[in-house]
Amino acid sequence: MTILRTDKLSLSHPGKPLLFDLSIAFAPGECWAVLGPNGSGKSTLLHALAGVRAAQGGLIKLDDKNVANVSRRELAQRIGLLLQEESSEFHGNVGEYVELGLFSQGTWLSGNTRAASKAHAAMSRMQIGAQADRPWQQLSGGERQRARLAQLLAQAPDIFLLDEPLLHLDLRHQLGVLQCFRALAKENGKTVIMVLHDSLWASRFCDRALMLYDDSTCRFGAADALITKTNLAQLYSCSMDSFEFSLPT
Amino acid sequence: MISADIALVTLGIVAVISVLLGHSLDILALGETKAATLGLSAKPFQILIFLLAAVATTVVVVSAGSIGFVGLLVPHAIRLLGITRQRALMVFSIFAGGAFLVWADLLARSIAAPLQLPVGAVTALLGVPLLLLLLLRR
Repeated sequence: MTILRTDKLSLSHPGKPLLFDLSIAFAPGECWAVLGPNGSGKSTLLHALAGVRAAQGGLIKLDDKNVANVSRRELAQRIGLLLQEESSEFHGNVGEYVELGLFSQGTWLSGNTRAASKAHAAMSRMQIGAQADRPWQQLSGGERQRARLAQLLAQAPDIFLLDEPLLHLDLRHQLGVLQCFRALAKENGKTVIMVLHDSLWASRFCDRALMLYDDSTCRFGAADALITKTNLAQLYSCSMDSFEFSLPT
Repeated sequence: MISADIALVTLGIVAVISVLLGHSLDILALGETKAATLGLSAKPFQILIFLLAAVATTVVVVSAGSIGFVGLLVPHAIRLLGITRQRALMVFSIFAGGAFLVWADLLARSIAAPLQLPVGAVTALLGVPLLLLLLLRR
């Protein structure tokens, strides 16, 4: 099983430091929530962990191997990243889109021989199997999000990095996605790291939390100890007193 | 000028390599970052594709002259027919492009016989309206 760790990682945008000297380890079976205000570097951190963005300082290691020295292909077999935004320029149908997730498992020549059945299993898991033959361009926002998640499931990495996996999803599918990825961590020993904006879902479904603050500092630890009203008020610089976190039945 | 044999062999090699790279082209079409997360290094692959395209274009222009709109029009027309994966798209484009050019050439030679029009005029005559149609459909 694979451990992803950072060693004194520093990330910044031009003129804006985002993270400074972060040393953290993500172990198999853990389900992480990454929380923080807009622009605090959550997406940037996931991109760096996936090796698609260079760090300004420090190292990211996958089983003690520097991620920068691992081939793209091997990285894709170990680490999967759900992007928050991607180009919608795809002209095939949903099934073909999901099959592209298997690229790193096939040879460049022949593709993956069991691609269709693996893609189909992933689509059923995201409840998008019935849409397999529809053109990608016709899908709604939520359906596209589920197809992207299905593509990631087909890719079948050890480490799932999810940048806002619940974007555009209705309540039923939000729960379905959270349960699916929690089960992947707890039952299949995968590592799940997801950026969430819903603190309530984060505290219910994740066991670890990483909070990124605006001043490029951060805190991490057990989710139930970290995700409290007091900490959230401080993290998002807003008062939580007037909110009631439960609905009438 | 280069001989027709050399042109044919070069084009054949480029075509085979390009068709084999079809899966990677599908991945690249999703964008560089997405391609990287799926396991394709975009930069070296793009350089390879540019080189293949440059070789093919050079050989064709050197041996047949520049004939506009075929390369612009044919792949888009095929995509409109519902063929979207790069491998199939390239195979169909190669044959449909050749067939299109043969018919355009036939028209160019016969429409005002015994005068011969340049074949580029015929491909442009068909290509411009079709291209405008495609743009307006967007």
